[in-house]
Amino acid sequence: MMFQYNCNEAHLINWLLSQNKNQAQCLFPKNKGWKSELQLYYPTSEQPFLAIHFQHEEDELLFIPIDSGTPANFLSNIIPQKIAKFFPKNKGQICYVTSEKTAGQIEKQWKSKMKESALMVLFAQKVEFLFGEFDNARFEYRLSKTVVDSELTSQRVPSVSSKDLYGNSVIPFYQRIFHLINYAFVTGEKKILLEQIVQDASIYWPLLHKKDKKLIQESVLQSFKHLQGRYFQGLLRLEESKKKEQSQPNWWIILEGNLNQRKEAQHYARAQGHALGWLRHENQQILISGDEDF
Amino acid sequence: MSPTKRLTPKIQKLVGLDPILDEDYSFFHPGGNDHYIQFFLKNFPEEYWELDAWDRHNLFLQDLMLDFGIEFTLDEDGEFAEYYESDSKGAFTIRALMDLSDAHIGLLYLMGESRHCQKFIQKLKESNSLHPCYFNSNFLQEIADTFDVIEEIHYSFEQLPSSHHHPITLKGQVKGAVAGSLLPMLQDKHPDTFNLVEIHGQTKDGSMGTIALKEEGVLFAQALRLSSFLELTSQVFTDLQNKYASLLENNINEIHFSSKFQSIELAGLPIEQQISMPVDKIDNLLRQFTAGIKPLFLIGNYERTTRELWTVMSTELTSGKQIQLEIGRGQIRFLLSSSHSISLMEKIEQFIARNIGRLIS
Repeated sequence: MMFQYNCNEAHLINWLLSQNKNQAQCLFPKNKGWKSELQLYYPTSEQPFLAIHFQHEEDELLFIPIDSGTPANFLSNIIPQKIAKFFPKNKGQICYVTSEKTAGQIEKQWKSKMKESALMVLFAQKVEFLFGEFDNARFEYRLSKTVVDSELTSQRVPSVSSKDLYGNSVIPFYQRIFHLINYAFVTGEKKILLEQIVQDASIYWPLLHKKDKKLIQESVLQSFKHLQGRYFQGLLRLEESKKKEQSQPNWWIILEGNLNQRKEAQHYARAQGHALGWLRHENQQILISGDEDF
Repeated sequence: MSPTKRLTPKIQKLVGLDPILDEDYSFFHPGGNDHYIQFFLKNFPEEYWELDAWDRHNLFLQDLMLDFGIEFTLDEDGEFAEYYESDSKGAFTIRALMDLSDAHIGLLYLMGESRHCQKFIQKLKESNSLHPCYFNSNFLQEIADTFDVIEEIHYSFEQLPSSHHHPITLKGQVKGAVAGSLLPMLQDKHPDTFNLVEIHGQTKDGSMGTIALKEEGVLFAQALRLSSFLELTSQVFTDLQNKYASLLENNINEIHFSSKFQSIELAGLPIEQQISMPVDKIDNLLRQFTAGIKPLFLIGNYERTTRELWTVMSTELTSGKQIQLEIGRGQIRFLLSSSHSISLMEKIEQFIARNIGRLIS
């Protein structure tokens, strides 16, 4: 590749997740009992982050992804402090992982402040340690045998934050929203609660703060207010309902189209593509920020 | 234990064989009857699985009656169901036995004239609760290895003109003794495009009867030793059980939360397969999975998530089943959201094997 490989935290997590499968050629083979768990940390008001935890009997490892949006103080101060509460050093190894491009940016800082910590770097076609190494030599061996193709990594986990490099982390979220609406549409439902759809579309929903949940709901509502008239005329529309005069409004998506008619179904599929295009263009970012510490 | 242990005596009874007799001479008296077996995946609506087996199967059979007017009678244990159809003179045209005893795979045995049986199966296939199991090319070739003589092969590959710059077609059928020798030749010469969809051959029991397997989960036999037919059925059944058990255990994506450490456990791995012939025009392939068009009738959306990978979320228009795919030029990944996605995955596998390129796991 001509340019330095770059990716966001979700992509790093996804690559690590792909290392926990049933085949032998991976770092943490599932058939040998390795388990993975995704963790979501809210250490400051501004910066939620993901981490991934691998475990097998006594062996434990925690990986913390770093992308270009991770601020410097966060890296050297906040993360180690917060992580120490849940994952003390004697529990297992903590590894930081980043992409080729970001590694270049943080190298200096690492040399001065973080040199004790291991830093693994994901390139387009390989993975290497820039600082430190695996405590367990077995992983070093497995790493040397691992075939890496970063661009083909399965995107199972979406990004959690607003600091997304491609500016399109919002699209997979809307893809899932449409996926859920499609199910309702095809199975003949006439109306669905927008709030419920948004909840189901986010895999992190139960872990989010109330404030963030509200923010996301509001953002999706605004998008749909725009989309209904622009792309989905005659197919779906929003409707407001209130139980009582003074209560909070509920927003329903009313499904009006008939997907049994082939033309209408195809029209709807196209409209969905256009809607995603508009969302991409608008590049709205759903900001997630927690103000509580835990 | 053989999965057909309890089915066998029931079929023998239906055919009119005495199971106590040691020798099976069924091939002497074919009596104009053909034997059909259709394997299918139980695709019952979610709420049916909350019921006990008898209620679940009874509801399913009632659906069949309402939709197609076919009335099966379920036995006391709720595991086997029977159906008889006769002509105006009272002679049986179809005798059917459905084995619902396995948790996920169903089997329909039909005895009668071929055209009646085919019509009957065709009708039942329209049910959303039945998904015919897919026998891919590799599976059919493995079975072919157990035959004494291969008598006939059908192969079908017709690349989508919209997805490849130079679409290739390799379709045909070969009958007669030459089929057996041509099969390995075709395979070697066209490893990327040879797609076996039907195979006929003689079993090694010396009865000279022919048995046929079709990609849509069908076993079909005319005059042959019934015991050989059931033996092969048992073998196929076991293979299918293993395949689906593994899919259900390892590949259904689920999310488990634990609030204590704000953690999420992702169960279920994506299923990854390589496509032997890289796609030239990926947009057109993605349209097949999202635009609601023939033959898949899938509706949904797609997004390029990396330079090499597109994420597709599709819903089947006819049934509401859903699946998530990740497609690159030379590979496809299936992310199954529930057991219902399995049938959709097989439908897509079949489409790719016929229209894009050979799938290699």
